Amino acid sequence: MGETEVPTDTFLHFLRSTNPPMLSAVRLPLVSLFFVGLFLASPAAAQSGDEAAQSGDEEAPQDGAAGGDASPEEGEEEQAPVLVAPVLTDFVEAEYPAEAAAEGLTATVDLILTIDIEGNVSEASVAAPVGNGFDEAALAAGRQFRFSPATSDGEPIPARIRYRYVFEMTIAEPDPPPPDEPEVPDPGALEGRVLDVDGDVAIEGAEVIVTSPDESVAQRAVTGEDGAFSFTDLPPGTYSLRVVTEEHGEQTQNEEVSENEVTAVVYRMTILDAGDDEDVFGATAVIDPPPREVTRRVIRREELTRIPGTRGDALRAVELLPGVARPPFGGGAVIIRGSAPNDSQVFLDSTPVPLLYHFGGLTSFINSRLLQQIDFVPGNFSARYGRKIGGILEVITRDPATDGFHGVAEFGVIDMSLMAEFPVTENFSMAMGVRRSLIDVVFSQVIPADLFTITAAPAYYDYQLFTTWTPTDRDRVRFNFYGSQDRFEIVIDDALGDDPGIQGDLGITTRFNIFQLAWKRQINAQWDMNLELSGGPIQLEFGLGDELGFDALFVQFQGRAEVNGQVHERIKLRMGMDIQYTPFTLDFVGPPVRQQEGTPDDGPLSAEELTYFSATDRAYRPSAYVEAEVAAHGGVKIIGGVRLDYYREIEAFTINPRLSVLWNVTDDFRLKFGLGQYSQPPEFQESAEGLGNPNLTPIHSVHSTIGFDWQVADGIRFGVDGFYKYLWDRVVGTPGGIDPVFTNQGIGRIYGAEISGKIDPVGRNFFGYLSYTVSRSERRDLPGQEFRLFDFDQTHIFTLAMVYKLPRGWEVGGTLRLVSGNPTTPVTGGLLNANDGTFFPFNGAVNSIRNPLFNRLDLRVQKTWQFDAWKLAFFLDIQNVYNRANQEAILYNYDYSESVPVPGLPIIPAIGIRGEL
Amino acid sequence: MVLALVCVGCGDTVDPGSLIDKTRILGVRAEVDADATQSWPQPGDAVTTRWLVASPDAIEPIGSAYFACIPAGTAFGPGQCEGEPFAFGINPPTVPANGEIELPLTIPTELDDGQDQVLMFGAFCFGGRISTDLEGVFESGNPCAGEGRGRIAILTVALDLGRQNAHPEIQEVAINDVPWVDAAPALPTTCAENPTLPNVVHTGGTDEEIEIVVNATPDSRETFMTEVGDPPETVERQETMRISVYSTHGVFSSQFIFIDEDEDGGAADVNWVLPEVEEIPAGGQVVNFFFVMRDVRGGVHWQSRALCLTRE
Repeated sequence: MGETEVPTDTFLHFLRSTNPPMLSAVRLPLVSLFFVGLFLASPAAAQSGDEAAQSGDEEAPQDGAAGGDASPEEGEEEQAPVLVAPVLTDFVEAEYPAEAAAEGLTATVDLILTIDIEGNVSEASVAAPVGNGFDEAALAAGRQFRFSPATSDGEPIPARIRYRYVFEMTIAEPDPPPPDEPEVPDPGALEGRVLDVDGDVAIEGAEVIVTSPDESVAQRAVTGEDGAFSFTDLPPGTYSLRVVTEEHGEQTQNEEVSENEVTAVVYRMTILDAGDDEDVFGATAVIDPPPREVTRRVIRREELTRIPGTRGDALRAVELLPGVARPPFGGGAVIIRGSAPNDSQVFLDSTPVPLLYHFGGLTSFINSRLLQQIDFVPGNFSARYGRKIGGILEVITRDPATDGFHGVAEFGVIDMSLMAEFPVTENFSMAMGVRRSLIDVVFSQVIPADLFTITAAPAYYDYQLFTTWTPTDRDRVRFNFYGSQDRFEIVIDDALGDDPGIQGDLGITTRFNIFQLAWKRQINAQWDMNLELSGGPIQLEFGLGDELGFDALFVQFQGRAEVNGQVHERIKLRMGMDIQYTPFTLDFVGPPVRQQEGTPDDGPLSAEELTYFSATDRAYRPSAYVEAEVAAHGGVKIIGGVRLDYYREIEAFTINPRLSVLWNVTDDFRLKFGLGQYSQPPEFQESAEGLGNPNLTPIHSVHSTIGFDWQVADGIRFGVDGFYKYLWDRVVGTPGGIDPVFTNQGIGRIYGAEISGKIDPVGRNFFGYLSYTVSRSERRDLPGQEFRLFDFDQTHIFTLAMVYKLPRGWEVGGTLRLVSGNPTTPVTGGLLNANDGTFFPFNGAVNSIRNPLFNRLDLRVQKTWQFDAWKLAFFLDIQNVYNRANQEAILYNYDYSESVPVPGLPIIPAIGIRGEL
Repeated sequence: MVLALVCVGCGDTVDPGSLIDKTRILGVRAEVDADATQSWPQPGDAVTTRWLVASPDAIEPIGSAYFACIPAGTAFGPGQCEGEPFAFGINPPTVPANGEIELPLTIPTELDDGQDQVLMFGAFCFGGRISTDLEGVFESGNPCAGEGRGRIAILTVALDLGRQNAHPEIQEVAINDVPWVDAAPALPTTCAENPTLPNVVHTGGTDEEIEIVVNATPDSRETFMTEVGDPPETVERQETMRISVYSTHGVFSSQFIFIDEDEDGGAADVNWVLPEVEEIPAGGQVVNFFFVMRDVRGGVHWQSRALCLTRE
């Protein structure tokens, strides 16, 4: 088992020394703006400075690293002191957490180290905890580091740096060396690249010298066109690595070389100028944690907000992943591997999210800059998750910054947002953000004035308060409080279109306020535990004249208790229980409920008989799960689990066994296989007595996946997953809604393949995704019928997204999507409803035709100006650049004798400006 | 939904339902033969259903057929029959007198308890003969035996099980606050042939419009008892008048207007947007209007009007 220390892509926060008056001058407007925003109840988006620092890109605040652009502030720094960064002199190797080692886990821990004028580490904290004992181990080691102190004009000064500690390991086969051979460690290698920090441009001709502590080993290299260098046959140990360029000066760091390993490093250098003599240096070697699921796709925070066509909205980026279908009209439905949107679940830090997007698809409810990453599991997910038969989307928030105050203010055409984060004490930090929409300002200009009387233009806001408390090295407590509200009210004075039922007051209000409390404790070296509790009111109101009304208040609570432990050197166990408890009141008036999917238009609202339903009740769904992970020989990992669920509303149990097998054939190639059963209860309206059929049973599916992941080269990954899902006991409606309204007679089958590629080479100035899914999703509603296509079946889904970082703070990117059109049901004519002069459609075979191929190109351009203590970014995000009129639906005339295609969203440019502190 | 609405506005449009651009059935009135003011027959009553037909040109001969049955207990979508039809008939193509097709119906005397409505399916072939394969007619959606354009319709007739529902009545139609009494003439015709029609002058502007007001008689909006809520509660309600508006040229701001419960005056107004001036012939254009008032419980009344549209 090896361990590699890689000095970080450092940015320096010099305490009290870096031109304080200028810093204050920059911060004051942002802080003032923040409170003005609060006063106005305006929402905010935010990004911490340390967030981007990790990425080493211009999203990252490279404090002290002057970019190529000279700002006015920089011009004022004629008397700026000559600053020299601290240099690590004594490295201490961290103890690899035992359970993590047994599990084969690796991690990267970002430490914030405060170095006093003696070169000692006076404070150390973790910027973003990663768990599994890595944080504690890295902290313990980091506190023992010694540095040569930073200096200002030659005088020692305190400094704060970010230090990236990378835990990685090599699973050694237990074959002992031959007894008659002396134990000589195998050599390692050290390779990397030297880049200009401004734009990550390779520096050619840099001199790189590696020297062992006793100077018994010394090698020299000169970087090539790509800035790369390489040293091989280095005996394990700590080496001094010195990088020298004429333009950038010199930098020296210690690097650890381990047996049979290649230590990969990247040095980012800053051009010396009169105003800034400090070099920015560092290295990264980001390694994805091994998944427990067969297919787990991760979008990291460095990329979340930079993907074109998403307007910087992290959750929108999920639509680009393999296996995710495109919802029509840019709506917010999450359609995973041919499953209905309600078959999948989105979690925010393990808590089910009631609503994902404002107004059903406009913008996600949470500020993307508070996110750490998004984990997407399209199938064969862990026993930890249940009550769903589709896929899982886990949105993981990050810890607030611990290295000082950071703030972000952003203003765009859709909304404006503010965020601030800061440490309160040494072990308690806080982040808060608010955001408010601006669409109500432009709404009246977009919507034809003769259609509606607007009583409340569409407006939304959301807020977040996240805290992290680490009372001890073993404990981590998080308290989150967040909420959202959407409101929209208009009066449709005259009936809209050909349906007299669409008339009257139309109002939509959704709001929720949710708290989350999570405590994670490392019990001992083998066991840790998680306790989570969340809850809060969720209110949904919808009304349309006298024909439709829905008013519901749910108070959703969820609790989870989970322990993870190493029960054997090769066996790790996870056990847990969770429960959902939801008291609610609900009033509904509207047409009779019916099957949600596979039901084409069946007539005007005015022809519907009204149904009334009221309920005050409570629902609870307890569950228990256990999962064992066995690290077998030969790089094979077997994860077996079982989950028991109870659904009170239908008084039914389900037991779901699950199995995954991962085989690391080589370091770069992994085979994977998964097979498991999944269940979910019927939707509320399907099983509620008085609306649906209370005798329904749970819906089941079997997921199977087989595939491989291949690390083609550094930063280039390629994977293929083939999957097959079978669904049974699907809830389907009876013809015409006759009693019992719903039955469990439906079945379904979904099969296909996903090809994923990700290119994100370390040190390169670009990253990108390539995904292609070919699949077929079919349903059969009643025995004897033929299989039909699922509503959102999309045979081909192709996505290519690339983001390039250019010099001088520019970044450009594009996303191209080619997707099969959604199925639709042809209408062959109309049946006159003589009672009100409207028409019922004569529907052909359900979903037997398709909309034409969807294709769209989105572009994003961003320019960032980097100042000493803050940065300013201007971005332009253009959706549908060539204004393609993609058909999303078919509009029929009153009697279905004529039709025209309904195009999707036209070209939409969204501009914004963002200031980050 | 908002995005979808915006997108609908971005694309091509279809002709509005208020435009009579082909021969159409605009409304059906079920009259109890014993009292034509009543819309709900009792079991055993003879009923005449009158089907209002309108056309932008001369109405061609129309073949028709129908059958009536007891509905199955479906919750949504067009009704379905339970059992065999209790009445049916087929008629050769004729030009309907007064623009109305009459189809007779007799309600069965023996009905199951709680059976409070019957279904009637009508099939029409405009300009052609109805197929004699009645079953095939209603399954295929094409009722014509050969030439002609077909239409199939469904009508639910509520039954009088101790309560009655009188047909509403349009009291007055006004155009730009002036009473408008001129019934629609048979088309084709000209302004010169109808000199008494009110004259509306197109001044050449875009989206020129006139206001039309429709009044119901004070007795039209009956009160009735109905069950609402969960658990059901019996409450008294007053009928809402829903008026469908049609014209042979031009466009209405909405195809449906309402006289609501809480609206005083018993009137509803709608704007009629004149056609483009280039569409108006030199001698003027006779435009026919139809107003079909429904009480949404089965009661129906309609009236027609006409005007002469000329250029400035």
